[in-house]
Amino acid sequence: MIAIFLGILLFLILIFVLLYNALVAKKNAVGNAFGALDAMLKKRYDLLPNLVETVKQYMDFERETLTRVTELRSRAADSTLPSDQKIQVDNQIGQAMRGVMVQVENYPELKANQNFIQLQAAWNEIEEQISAARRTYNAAVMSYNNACEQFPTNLLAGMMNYSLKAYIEIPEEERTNISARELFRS
Amino acid sequence: MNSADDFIKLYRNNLAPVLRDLEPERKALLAQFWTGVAFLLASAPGFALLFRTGQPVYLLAAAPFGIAALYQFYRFSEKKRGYTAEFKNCVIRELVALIDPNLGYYPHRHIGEDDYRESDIFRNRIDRFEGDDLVEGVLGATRLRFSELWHQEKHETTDSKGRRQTRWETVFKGIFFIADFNKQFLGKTYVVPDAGESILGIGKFFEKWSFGRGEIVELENPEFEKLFTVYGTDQVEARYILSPSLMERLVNFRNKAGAQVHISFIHSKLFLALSVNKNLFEPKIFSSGMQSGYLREYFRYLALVAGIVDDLNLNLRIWGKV
Repeated sequence: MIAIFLGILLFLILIFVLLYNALVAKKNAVGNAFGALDAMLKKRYDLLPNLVETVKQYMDFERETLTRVTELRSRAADSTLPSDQKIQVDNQIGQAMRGVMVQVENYPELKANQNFIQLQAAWNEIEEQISAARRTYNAAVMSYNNACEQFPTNLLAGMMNYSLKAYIEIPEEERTNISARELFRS
Repeated sequence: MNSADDFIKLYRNNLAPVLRDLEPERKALLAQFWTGVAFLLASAPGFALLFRTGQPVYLLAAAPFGIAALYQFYRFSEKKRGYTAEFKNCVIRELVALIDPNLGYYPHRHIGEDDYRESDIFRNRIDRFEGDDLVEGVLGATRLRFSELWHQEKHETTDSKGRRQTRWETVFKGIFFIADFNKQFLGKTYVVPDAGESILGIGKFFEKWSFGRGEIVELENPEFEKLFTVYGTDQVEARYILSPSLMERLVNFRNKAGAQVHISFIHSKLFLALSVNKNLFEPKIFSSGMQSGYLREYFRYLALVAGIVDDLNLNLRIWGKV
């Protein structure tokens, strides 16, 4: 009798450990994905000053936008900024730069500049990688949120004070995906 | 230039005359075959009597016909080789040129074992590796290569009485395609047909085992997820490669192909294995060579595979890789 009881207890403990570890792993996956996204965003900050400088030489009318981008960059680089605000600032940078890139069409000299062409390719690449990192983050968040809400892991999540995490909103321009990028072609 | 209308035009203007010229050769080939069959039939009564009565005298009656039949079949296979070579050189080469003049066609070559291994799509032991009909060239900014391949694995079993049995299992048969991918990456990403498709739901459970191909990568496109399962050594990189637009394009390609598609992204290259359970790009001998139906099918496969470059937008080079 006692043996059966012990057996069931052991089994329950085992299940508990497994669920607990799975939940912790999912939470850490979210953190990890955010780290990857952050690394990509840093890469973008590094690229920005070069790009802005190059564009400035040719563009007379976009000075204001470019100054704003530089401002936003220094704000985003501030390590004390909470993560949700940081994402917002990043979205603004992306949006502003997309606007600039569209304007590039009006500056044939800039478009032909070898330095700019390289920077633009690097920019497109990093944008694509950021988009991938965002999607990875959201996938990790979904997996974690599912675990927080689904039975029986929701009981554990309640005990551990785990709360749901927010998804990163993907800007509309990126969801339609290719349209903005198509403009960079040619 | 690769629509159905183009094909009809090409058939009428270029292929039909060539096929007409090839017709006598095909008919001669056929005659050889039937002569062989006739000799075989003629030798049959002699052999039947030989086996029934055991009298060697019947062998004398049967043997000359038997030898004549063997000779005819030998000649048939020789001629067939010549006919096939001519057919490929004249007809298939034209079809490939119609797809794009920049593509070269090599009837006797195929994708090598090293490249096939590099793709890491099928990991079974390679005991027999055959192929032909290599197409190679550059379309826009994209270098591509594809050929027919047939990869088999040998299974030997010994039963309780010690009898050995050899069975050849086909691992992959179809068209194997390799192209430069338009983005640079370091890890490995695999797109395989969804397991859930075949084993009603249970497959979902087994998908978790990736067999050393990294982790499962869950993507956002439900239609894509229904058709494929993705494994990768790097979650972010897998998504960098499989952008929303590429996923959509792959779904469309899979539907257009109507066959199983395995893909891997390794060393900045795209490997694609399209399963086709037929020997493509071969001449038909037992029916009129003038029919366009089978050629249309060959053309469809050529257009489908060479079209991957456009279908997947591989010429879009805006990410720093030239």
